[in-house]
Amino acid sequence: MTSDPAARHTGQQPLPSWWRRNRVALVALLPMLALALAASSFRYVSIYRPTTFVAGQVATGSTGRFLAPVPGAEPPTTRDVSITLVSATPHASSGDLGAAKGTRLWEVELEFAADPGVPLTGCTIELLDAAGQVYGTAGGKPVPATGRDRTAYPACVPEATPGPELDLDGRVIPATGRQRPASWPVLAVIAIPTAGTPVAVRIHWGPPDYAQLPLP
Amino acid sequence: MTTRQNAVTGLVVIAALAAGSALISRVPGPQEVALAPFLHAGTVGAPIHLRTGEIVVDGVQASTQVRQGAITASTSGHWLVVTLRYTAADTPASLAGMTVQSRDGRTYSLARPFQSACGVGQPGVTIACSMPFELAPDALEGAHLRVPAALLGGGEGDDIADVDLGIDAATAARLAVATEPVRIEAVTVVGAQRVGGTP
Repeated sequence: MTSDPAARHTGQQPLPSWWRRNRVALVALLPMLALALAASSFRYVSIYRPTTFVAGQVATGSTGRFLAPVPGAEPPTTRDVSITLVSATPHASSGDLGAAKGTRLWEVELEFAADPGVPLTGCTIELLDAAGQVYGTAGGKPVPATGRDRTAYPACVPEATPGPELDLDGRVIPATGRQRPASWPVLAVIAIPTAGTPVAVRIHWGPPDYAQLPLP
Repeated sequence: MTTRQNAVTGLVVIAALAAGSALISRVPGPQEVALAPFLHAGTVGAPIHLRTGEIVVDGVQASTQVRQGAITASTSGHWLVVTLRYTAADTPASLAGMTVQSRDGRTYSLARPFQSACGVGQPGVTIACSMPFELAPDALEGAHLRVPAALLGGGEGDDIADVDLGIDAATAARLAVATEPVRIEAVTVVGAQRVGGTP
């Protein structure tokens, strides 16, 4: 005995359930939902990922490697540099700089090693503490008597032999003069509150790629 | 379906469209919602927390002349010099894009040749700066300082501090007659301490 009034009236078999009648569309809905979700992630791909530090090359020892393409470089170029942390120590002063009240100046000595044809000017060196706070080279340091903090934006290349550079359009300007040595020292001076303890040094040329080395 | 039913259906659809259109015209659009700032109201001397750090406005001065280094600038209106402290939160950040809004909604920005940003803040380290705004004579009373959390976007969809500078009619009258040149101090590092608190 059937409970379907239409079937009782016509004497035919009852209609299949709504789920059964639409089963093909329901199955097709799953990949469509997955595709819709993927399509809605365009902001992550086109905005957030390129502008945040998500591609870390984190070393566990004192030496690490930064390897990433230079965005928009012409001709296409890869930054490939080996970075070694020589020392990181806090001081009350550094050169002509004195630490502000309640802060210490951390001197971070690094050694870079790279092919002379790799453009490496304009890097950023930062210290990170366990809480994830990021300390840069430009802030927190009183201006010295000379009127200029020469450590605010450290050169990541030797001053006399910087190697290739990039113009504003990303074109690689070949080096002139003497060739850059195979390796060279880089010094960063970073102000950190006395209560803070850095745990790692981060080196990058803009997001998303960065190299990170642990402090001993 | 009868002609009467068709007419009723048509009227219902038209009424629904009209109601929907009226509703949409009164509700902010998605772009408007996305760009709306998160205002953090405050007063002189009170810390205000923004996404990128904490600010405290210490006070205001006014004059017809300001001086920074060898540069002196005069105005037929008023220079309003706002002194403030800033402590960056988690990453190095700079206070830039500050404006003063008059009571009637006019906006005054910082102008060259004077500093247009409050240095570079280091997390946990307080810096102090004085920012000069050139205002029309009648814009002093009721002026507010607007500080976006970041220069990029000017506070659209982001935190903005809205500080009542405490300039009532009497204060405005006193500031309006000041002619003694105000010296604009360079950005100074105060040190690691809580803003508005003790080391």
